[in-house]
Amino acid sequence: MNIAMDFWTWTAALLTLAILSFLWKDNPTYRAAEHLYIGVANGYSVTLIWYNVVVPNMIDPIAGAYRQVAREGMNWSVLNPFQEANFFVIIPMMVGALYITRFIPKISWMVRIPIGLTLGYYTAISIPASFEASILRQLEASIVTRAHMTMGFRPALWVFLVLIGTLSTLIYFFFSTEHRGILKPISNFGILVVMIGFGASFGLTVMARISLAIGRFVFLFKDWLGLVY
Amino acid sequence: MKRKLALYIMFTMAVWGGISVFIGKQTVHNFDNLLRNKLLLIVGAFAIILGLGSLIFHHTQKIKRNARYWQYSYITLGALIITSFIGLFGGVRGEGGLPTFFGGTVLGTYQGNIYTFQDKNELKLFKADPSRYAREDIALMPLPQGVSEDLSRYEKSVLLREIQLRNTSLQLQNLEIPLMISPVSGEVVPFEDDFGVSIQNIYEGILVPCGSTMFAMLAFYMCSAAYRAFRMRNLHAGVLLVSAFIVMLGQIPLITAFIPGLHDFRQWILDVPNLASKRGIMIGVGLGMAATSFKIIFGIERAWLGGGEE
Amino acid sequence: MNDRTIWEKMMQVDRRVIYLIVAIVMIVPIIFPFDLPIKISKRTTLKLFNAIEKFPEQRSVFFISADLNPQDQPELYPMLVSWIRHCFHRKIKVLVMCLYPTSLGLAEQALNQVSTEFNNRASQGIGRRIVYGEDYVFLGYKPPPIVPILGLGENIFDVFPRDFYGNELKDYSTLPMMENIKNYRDMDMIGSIAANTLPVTYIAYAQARYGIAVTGGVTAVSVADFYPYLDSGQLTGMLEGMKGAAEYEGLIRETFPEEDGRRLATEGMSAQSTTHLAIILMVVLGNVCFFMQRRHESRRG
Repeated sequence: MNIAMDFWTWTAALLTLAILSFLWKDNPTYRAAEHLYIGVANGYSVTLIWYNVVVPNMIDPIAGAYRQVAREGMNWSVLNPFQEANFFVIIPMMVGALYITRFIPKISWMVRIPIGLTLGYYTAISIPASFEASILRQLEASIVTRAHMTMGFRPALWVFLVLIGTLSTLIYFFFSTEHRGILKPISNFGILVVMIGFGASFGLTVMARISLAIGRFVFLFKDWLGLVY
Repeated sequence: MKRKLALYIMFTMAVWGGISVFIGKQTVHNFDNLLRNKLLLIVGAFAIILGLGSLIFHHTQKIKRNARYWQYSYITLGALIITSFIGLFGGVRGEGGLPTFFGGTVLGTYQGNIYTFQDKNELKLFKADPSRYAREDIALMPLPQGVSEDLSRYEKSVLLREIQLRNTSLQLQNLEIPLMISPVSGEVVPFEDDFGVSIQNIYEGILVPCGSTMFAMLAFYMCSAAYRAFRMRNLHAGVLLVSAFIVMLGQIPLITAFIPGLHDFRQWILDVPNLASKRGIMIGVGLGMAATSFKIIFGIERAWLGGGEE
Repeated sequence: MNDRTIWEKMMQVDRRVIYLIVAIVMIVPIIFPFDLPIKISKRTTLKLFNAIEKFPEQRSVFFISADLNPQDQPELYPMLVSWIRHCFHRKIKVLVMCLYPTSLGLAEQALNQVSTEFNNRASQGIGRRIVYGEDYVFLGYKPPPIVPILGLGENIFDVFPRDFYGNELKDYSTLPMMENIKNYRDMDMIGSIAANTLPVTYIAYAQARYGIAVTGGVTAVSVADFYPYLDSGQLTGMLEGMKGAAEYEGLIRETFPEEDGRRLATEGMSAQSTTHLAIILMVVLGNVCFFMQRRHESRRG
């Protein structure tokens, strides 16, 4: 046994135990750890946004432009957004600052402006990207071709099964008409396929969750208590 | 009118987004890069104020009203303020003005010369007294007998890393690394690693254990749920259960070693029925998302505008 | 008063009893691990391994987007280590980037760990020495994800003027391998290690626009959702959670006998096995109790 003597390893271990104690029952140590986590997580993201977004994209350009003006006098180039040092960034900063109006009831409608700007752009560029990746290429991959037929009986059968399974899943989720007549058996088959898929997801999720718990126990027994390896 | 203004802005940006994808002109590319990499990034950064504002508002209200567990709100607010303070003034890697390393005693600085042969791949380390040799002398001298001294493995790796990171083409470096004896292993370790309150220490000592333990608890909940609720009540539940069983059994080396074909059966389930269901769902979701995106762009779907004034 | 059957009692056992059983079956193999033969999945792990095996030596570049968070470490960290080991063994250049700040520490740790392993072996005369700038470069982090994902298709020097350690990327005397890398066209494959759908983002933006091969190292939770991309060829193989990582570790050990590094995922597989078995037994037991109780009730009318 080779127990850790480091302050932060002890902090981490005690916090791990505090949170695990919730498995026994809700208690003050768990609640304290949970509240601490929320505060620290937000403080951490404040720091990262400051150093990775605010400083390089807002403070540096403005300070650079200010120095340039002090050095060479005012000229138009400090307004050029393509230049490294510029005052132009003040405009998107002012637009971004409109987010704060959310807390001022009289002008809170202005928060929609920055939301609209980002939402519009990112929605538009996501349409062709997801259409290509999740729909067109997937449809292409479902098509049974002559090449599939030459792969042998079993692979060809599986390709057919995938096609039928995909179609019946789509029909099962197609709610615009009632599932009657020919649609009924197809959608029934569809739900079976979906259930197999969910079962597979469940089985894999078990592995994922166990991995995470293993990670914590390895920390407790190896890094903290020094019992392992 | 106020709602319309936001809709017009959103629509204009969407049109530009479309242009940027489909028109390959260099000027379009340049402006699009500026918009995405700089301007929208700046606008988006302010969104965190919304989140922070709601968090602070929620907890101050809790304290004001003496709501249930209000005492804990002090922990959240205190942690938020202290972490932000350390982060903003101490720097991400402890480079800021606020000193974030203290406590403990420094053993002294390691002052050694690292000798590397002309060929970069042959890296040799030895400790030497810098006052005895001028830099150039050492660089030209062959390795003196007896001066070479075995460094601890950790020390070696620290030094090796330093030399790799700084400049591999340098043949001689005079490194100054504050060192201390670790109370745990008794080995020489870099000073900062053990006693500090930098944002990185907080990240590793508080954020990582809390975050990963919260996720790790899901393993326990899932086991309990599997025992209590995973029942073969009807055909559909039965199919789900059997499929989950085969996938689980197929990923246990302990079982697949004894049941031939189980591993392949698991793979078949993933490759054929699972693939079909996931592909069906994916196409459905993809179409739904595209439709919703168009509805947003053309102002049919307006939930994002929220309530309030026209 | 006490007319509850044994089945009913068993079904209503305190959840803490279950937690305790799970904890025990998980902890014992962590302290006393045992070796298990791990079968290799052909369509996922082996496909990726073979694809990397086919890269020509010296001039190929494997671009790793290491976006693992501390909570995913047990699953994803061994994958990152294995990929780096494989590339270093095969003399393939490695370029590493992070899309999240929380991944930086782990990515750097993996690079340092593997290069130290190689250099320690090299000092004993086995294998080759790894040099930063020649064999690998660590770019660091740039938010938000879409910016570097699209930007690297155009010009890497615009997105990352400097590497993580502050070296100028265009300083070819320090970073000689960057001389031949300008954008995705100069890379052979993107490997996206993530606990979310980032591999799909790479497929949708980097692959669709610039045609580069993409592979994924993903957590088991999302594995099933990636199968359509695997089948359509958009993903060139992938690693499925801890099991996939263990398989890859085994393949590397088999192919490169000098490899003696720690196999973290393989070590975790014994605890995986026992816990899986416990869950399966619990589901069976839960169902047996359920059906016996139902039979009991129907008999009583």
